[in-house]
Amino acid sequence: MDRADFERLALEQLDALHRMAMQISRRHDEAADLVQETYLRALKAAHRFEDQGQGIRPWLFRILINTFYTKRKRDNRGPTSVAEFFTEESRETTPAEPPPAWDLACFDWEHVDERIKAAVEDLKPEYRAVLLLWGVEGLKYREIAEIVDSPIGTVMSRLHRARKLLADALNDCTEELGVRTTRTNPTDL
Amino acid sequence: MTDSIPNPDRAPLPMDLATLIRCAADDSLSLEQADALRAHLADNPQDQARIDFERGLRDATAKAMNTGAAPAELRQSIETMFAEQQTADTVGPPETKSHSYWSQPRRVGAIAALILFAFSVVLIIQRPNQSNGWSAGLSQRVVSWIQTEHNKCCDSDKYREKKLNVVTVADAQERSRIDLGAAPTHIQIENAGYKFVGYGSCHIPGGGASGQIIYAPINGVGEPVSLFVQQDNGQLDSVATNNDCIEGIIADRSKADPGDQLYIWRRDGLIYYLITCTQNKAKPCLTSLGAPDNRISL
Repeated sequence: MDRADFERLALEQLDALHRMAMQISRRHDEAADLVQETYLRALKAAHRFEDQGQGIRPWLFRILINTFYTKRKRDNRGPTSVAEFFTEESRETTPAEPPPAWDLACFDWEHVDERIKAAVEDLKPEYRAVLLLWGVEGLKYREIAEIVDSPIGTVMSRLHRARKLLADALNDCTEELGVRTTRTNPTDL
Repeated sequence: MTDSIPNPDRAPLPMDLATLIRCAADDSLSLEQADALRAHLADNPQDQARIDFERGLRDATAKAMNTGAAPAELRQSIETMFAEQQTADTVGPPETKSHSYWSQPRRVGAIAALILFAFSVVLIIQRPNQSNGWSAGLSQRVVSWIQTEHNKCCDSDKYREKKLNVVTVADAQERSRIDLGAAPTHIQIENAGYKFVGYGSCHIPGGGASGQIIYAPINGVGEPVSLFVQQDNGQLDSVATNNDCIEGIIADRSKADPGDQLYIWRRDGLIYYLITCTQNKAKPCLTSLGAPDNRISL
């Protein structure tokens, strides 16, 4: 791939990268810096990029997320000792409670937009990242796992927990929304 | 019943109902899981509403998180950066500094954080009542020093090129043999996705000649890792044998993120220190470097 093609393909992903940068940084200035740094790193490493059939987008996402967490990690450095080595993943489990069984015939998703935005706002960046890749970008678990450089089980845990939190946020206002809910507990398999 | 297309390529998943329902909504069930869910829904048709809810939630989430187009100024600044880089590549020196970590301008904040860190880092690898060798005080100095040097090499082209000025593996082995009295082994870690960038001598606290190797990710994604090698004068006698690999993390307990990972092991008269900020990449690096499998966290 020559340089002109690379630049064109990379720039086609600007909106997606900016979306991700905004979701994980939550600040316009930081998001812009993050996107610029991502493009600079991508350009410098362009000769190493190999299209594995998924295009350039996952590769750019990986660089962006890696850049964000590396910078945050460096900014967060401070004194103390921890004994929580390699325990981050083990703390994350998929929620045992299934999604609600609402009567969606009388439910208007348009009316919950702001509630979902607010719930998303409360999530940790790593949850927002997988939620965005899943919801907006339409990626599969395995593709997300490659981008965030985490095991597929971790991705599923984060994604399912994030969705559970969003569902909980909506559940708090079912009466107000006029939703009929099924009160019976789900039967296990 | 879900109309998901069973996907045999999916990893095995736990068989709890919540996971199955969410995976069904994502069309990510294996054949076996799809069968299990189909049987469940035959007896519990009301649970189809749960799958429908997840699909609705996905669409609503996509709408709520879609922030629209990037600002025009940002697009323009990136196009300008591309043009400037092209000009620089045309008129500048050949690409001997092609690693992004070493070619981009560093921010003052990062330097400030580095300086602060140098004064505040605390080693987790501490054991009370260490009477000699690897004392708490020495371990703190060693870890602080290693991380500071690693960061300086990551943050500054000039510093790295001046310090790690041996740029081939063969020369590095010859030079380290002179520096350390023995050449470190297994120093090529391309199997782990990293390529050798440079070697140079250094002065790790605690005595004994020492050297540093820095590696960069082959695919250009991620941060460099450093391998420090020091003459083994028995500094670790009180905490580790030749069959142990000490693992630790340098982090701030008040922060959510894991910090840099540090691994220490001994082999053939040398002590090896591997430092990386990428947790998932540490294991393949350790394998390539021949670190002992027996991990101890102190």
